[in-house]
Amino acid sequence: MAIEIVQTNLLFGFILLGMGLYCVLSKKNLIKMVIGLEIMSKGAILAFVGFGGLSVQAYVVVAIAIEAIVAAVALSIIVNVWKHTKSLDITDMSRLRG
Amino acid sequence: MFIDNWLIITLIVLLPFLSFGIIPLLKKMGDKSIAWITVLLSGLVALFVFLLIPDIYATGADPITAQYNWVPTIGLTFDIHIDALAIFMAAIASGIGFLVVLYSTKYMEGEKGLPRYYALIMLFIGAMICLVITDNLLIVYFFWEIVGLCSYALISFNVQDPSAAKAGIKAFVTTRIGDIGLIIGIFILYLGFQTFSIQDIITTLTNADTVAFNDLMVYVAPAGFFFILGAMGKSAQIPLHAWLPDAMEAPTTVSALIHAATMVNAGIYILARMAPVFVYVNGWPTTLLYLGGITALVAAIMAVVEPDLKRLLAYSTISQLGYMVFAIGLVLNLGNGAVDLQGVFISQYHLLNHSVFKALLFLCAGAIIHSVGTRNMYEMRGLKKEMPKTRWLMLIGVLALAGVPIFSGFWSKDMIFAGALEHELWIPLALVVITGVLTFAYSLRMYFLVFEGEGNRKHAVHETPNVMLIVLAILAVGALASWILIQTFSMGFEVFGLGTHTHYLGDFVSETFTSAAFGLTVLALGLGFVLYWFRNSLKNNMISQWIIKWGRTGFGFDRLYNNIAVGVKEVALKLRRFQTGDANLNFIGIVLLLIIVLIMLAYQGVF
Repeated sequence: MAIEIVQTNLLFGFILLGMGLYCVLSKKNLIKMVIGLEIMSKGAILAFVGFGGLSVQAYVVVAIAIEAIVAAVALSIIVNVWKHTKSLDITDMSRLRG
Repeated sequence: MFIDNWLIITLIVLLPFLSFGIIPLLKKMGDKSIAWITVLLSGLVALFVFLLIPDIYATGADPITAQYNWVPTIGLTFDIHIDALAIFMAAIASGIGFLVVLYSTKYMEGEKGLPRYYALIMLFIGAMICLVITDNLLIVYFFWEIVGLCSYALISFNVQDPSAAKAGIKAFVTTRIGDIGLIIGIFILYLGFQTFSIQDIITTLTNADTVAFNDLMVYVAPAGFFFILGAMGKSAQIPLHAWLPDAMEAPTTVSALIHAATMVNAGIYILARMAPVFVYVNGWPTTLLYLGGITALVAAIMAVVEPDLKRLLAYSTISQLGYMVFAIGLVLNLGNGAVDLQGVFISQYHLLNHSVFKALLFLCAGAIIHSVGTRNMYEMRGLKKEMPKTRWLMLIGVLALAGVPIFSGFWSKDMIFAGALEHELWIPLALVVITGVLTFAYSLRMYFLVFEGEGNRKHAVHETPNVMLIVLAILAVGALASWILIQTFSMGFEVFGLGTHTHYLGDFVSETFTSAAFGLTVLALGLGFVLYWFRNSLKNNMISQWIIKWGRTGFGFDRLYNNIAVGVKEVALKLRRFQTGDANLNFIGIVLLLIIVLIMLAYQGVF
């Protein structure tokens, strides 16, 4: 029973990671890329829960909080990019100089 | 001693770096307060360094050692090992540094960005002191880099001037070639000895039996030549000298600091420090002899034809550094483990004299440029009426540089001639004697162009301000008398086994004036005077015209480096296509790398 739960968690974690990775690698829209990043990290957290069980809860909560911060920072950068270029396409940002 | 040595050393190490942090924070206090606070701080550093001198130079003294843990888990410690050589270099760096800061209070008045200037100067002095007092080669390398960084930042101090920015980058890139040589040399030594400690390396090598010795020489021999490469970059030896004349874009105080107290001495120091190890390498001393001799000669030729006062002084520095490298090349492997390290002492003695008179010359030149407003000597002319005090002080510096008897440069230069004569090294001897001829010729040319003749100036020229004159006077006394220190100086070097016997002052004077080398000095001075006297009739033939044309463009070295830089830039622009800036592609790169790492780990059996 316990092993099954671990395996299911790992499986879904892997699927989430793959989805997120595909999203990050293929999408051109900045918002979509951030969503992909979030999905990826959720997959990693799920795998973490699957291995650790009850003992990792505190770490997982902290990790989720950090995820929220990362998303907030990324979105604020995106807002500034939008103000600057009036576009959310990642290919328009291929130069660091604005 | 009334204060514990450990406390003094800690203060010497910490104070410059603390000042580097604090000075920029004091910006609100105004430039004047910052300048005087820096004078106070650098004075304190110099005072602490000078407090240690009696301990070292007393007969039979032990080295002062201390140790700070840095990364204890891997055994990396900041070892301090202060012997005669280290304290001497530290005293030069802090003493000349203090005088330069004092001079800056007036010279740099009203410039923009003074907090940055003073902070960097403190860091520069501090890094140089730490470089020479540490025993750990890795730490030497760290401070070696900090010294390079400071010289870069100070050369481009005037950030709005594009030529200053370019000169800074040139200095940084050129010395970087040498730095890479040095770090390779250090790692090769580590491979052989399994330690970074210089003292341990020397003891291991001298106590090794024949088999172990031959094994170690496999590492020591290549390391020796990589160390020479490092010194070539830092101490501006040909062909890596091209950054030093361009570094004249810096404020003159910075030039004085680089040339007399810190930057260029580092290369000479590392060669002198490692000479007891590398003296066993076949061809190492000979390489230094020819490197130094050719550098001295070529730089002197360029100095003879240079119209810019500061650049002329830069070339003369390169030439004098060539003398020092040459002097280190006088070390000799006598066989059966016996070595003659006399050359190390001679080079350091010349470094002492050179530091003092070169600081004097640069600061005089600074005062002149400050009031005349040009660096071209042909536009100066006839300053002896307008700046009589500066003229006398500069004359002392010029005579010391030229090696005129009883001025400081004469004594050490004479020792170099004597050393080469003693070992019967005829070709290198010819190189340095010809350099001596040219040195006297360009010294005379510089002095007469600047002070004699008739100038026609529209605006009035003022005499040097008093603060600056005091500094110049102190240095002038040094340029007259620094050679008198030889007795104490050589005694300290003898105690620490740095290759000399004690030269007693009376014997030294009589020996110098009766030796065959004295004849060579007189010959060089005479020929130099003849060369200067007949300069106009010598100028008009083909060869002289060719030398003037090529010497003024730096014998093509600048063009060569320019071509290399252009080539590298083109390659870089082509390589740039690989960097698309597309975030998706970058992510794919990261993922691919992760997969490769995972596969490698799987091969290693980690899973």
